[in-house]
Amino acid sequence: MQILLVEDDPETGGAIKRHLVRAGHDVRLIADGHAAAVAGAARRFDVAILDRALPSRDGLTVLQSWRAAGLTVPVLLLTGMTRVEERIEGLTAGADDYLSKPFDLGELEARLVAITRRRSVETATPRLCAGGLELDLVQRSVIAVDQNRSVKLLPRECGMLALLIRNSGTIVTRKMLIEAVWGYAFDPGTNIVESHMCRLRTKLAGFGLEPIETLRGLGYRFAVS
Amino acid sequence: MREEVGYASAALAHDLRTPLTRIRTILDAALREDDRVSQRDCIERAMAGCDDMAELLGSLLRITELKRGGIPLPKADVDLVELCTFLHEAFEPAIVDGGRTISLCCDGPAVTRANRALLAQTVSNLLDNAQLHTPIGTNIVLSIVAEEAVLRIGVSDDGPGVPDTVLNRLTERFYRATPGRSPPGHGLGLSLAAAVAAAHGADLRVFNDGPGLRVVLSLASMPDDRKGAQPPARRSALVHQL
Repeated sequence: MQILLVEDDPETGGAIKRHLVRAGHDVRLIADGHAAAVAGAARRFDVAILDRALPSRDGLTVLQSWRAAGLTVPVLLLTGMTRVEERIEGLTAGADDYLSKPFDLGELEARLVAITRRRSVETATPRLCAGGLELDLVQRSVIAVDQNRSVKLLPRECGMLALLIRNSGTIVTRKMLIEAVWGYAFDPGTNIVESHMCRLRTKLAGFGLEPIETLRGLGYRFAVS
Repeated sequence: MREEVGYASAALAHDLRTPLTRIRTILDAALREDDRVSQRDCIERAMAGCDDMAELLGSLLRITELKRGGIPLPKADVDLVELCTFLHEAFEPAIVDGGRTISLCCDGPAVTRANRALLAQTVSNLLDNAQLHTPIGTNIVLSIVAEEAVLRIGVSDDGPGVPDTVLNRLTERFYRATPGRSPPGHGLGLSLAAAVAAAHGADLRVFNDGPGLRVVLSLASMPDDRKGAQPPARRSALVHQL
């Protein structure tokens, strides 16, 4: 991917750039808000990573200028702030996702893949299909296609499976699940994700299927064979 | 007050120094490791220590901001029955997996004017505490009681409770009824809950139920003539991105 990375801290920016380049991406690193606004408008990037606090022009203003100019590049906002209101402010301004510092580089990469993919996936469909399963988002049931059997899911189980299927083959982190399925901007001390995941897997195992992999320290992945 | 500030400062210094020492020691060990797998394990543990420190500072910043009142606190009508039903559903599997039970008792309707996200975080903190600080076999109850103009959200358990002498100190920053590092936490959960309550003009109280501990958050009910004026706030569609 062609990535525009806007981060004014040289250590953080350098580390992110090295990681993404090693993963095979082409990264342009800019440390200044005004320069970022110009660069984003001058060249087509596949995705942009934009820090909120920048010299000369803050990240939110840069993003608003891009959207006002009709630029549709997917944007991941980075911030040192963690309040829900700030997250909503960023998403309202046109960001596709929002990540609080400090973060894992794996988390960053997983979110970049997810927001670039989200643009190309039809999100309004009431049914999602993958790996021999058909998930009915209205009935909250999942069907094993070749067995013609179905099982009911609880709301959060359905939400987890939908997010995993929409990101089939790529990593969905624990934090992404907590934000998308529970709507939390914080990580509760109780293992709510693990317990729901265990129950979801048990239900899918009833079909003889084990499509959800755990990637230690990274998250989960819906494997499509 | 001065005593609490002094205690909090000392506790903060301790709570930062301890993970810093741990992280430095782990990284030192990583430098001396020849085995790549062991090195990786050390680095992962050091990163977990950094996350722990970031969480501590984030909570502390949040409490300070709430107490200072310097941040806007968007409020909407919040249906507490819907909120608590959501939290009950979210926590039940993990609490049951941990060998405890949780039940929900409410006789709605119960609508208040509040910041839904903060209220959700507060009740989540109380449920975290009820699970972390009680033995296996404990029964936890999440309840909503409407009493005239007041709505009370309660999280109670039938665990061992705490000594009466420390009851009033539980909402102090960094105060831990159990000394040492176990169970995990920084002693900020109830302090944050109290700060959220104060920011809503509400009240947070802790009772020994003999047996068990009961934490009650009392909020003002919506006046009757305002009820139904607009639909209560649910989770933001922007945050809920499914």
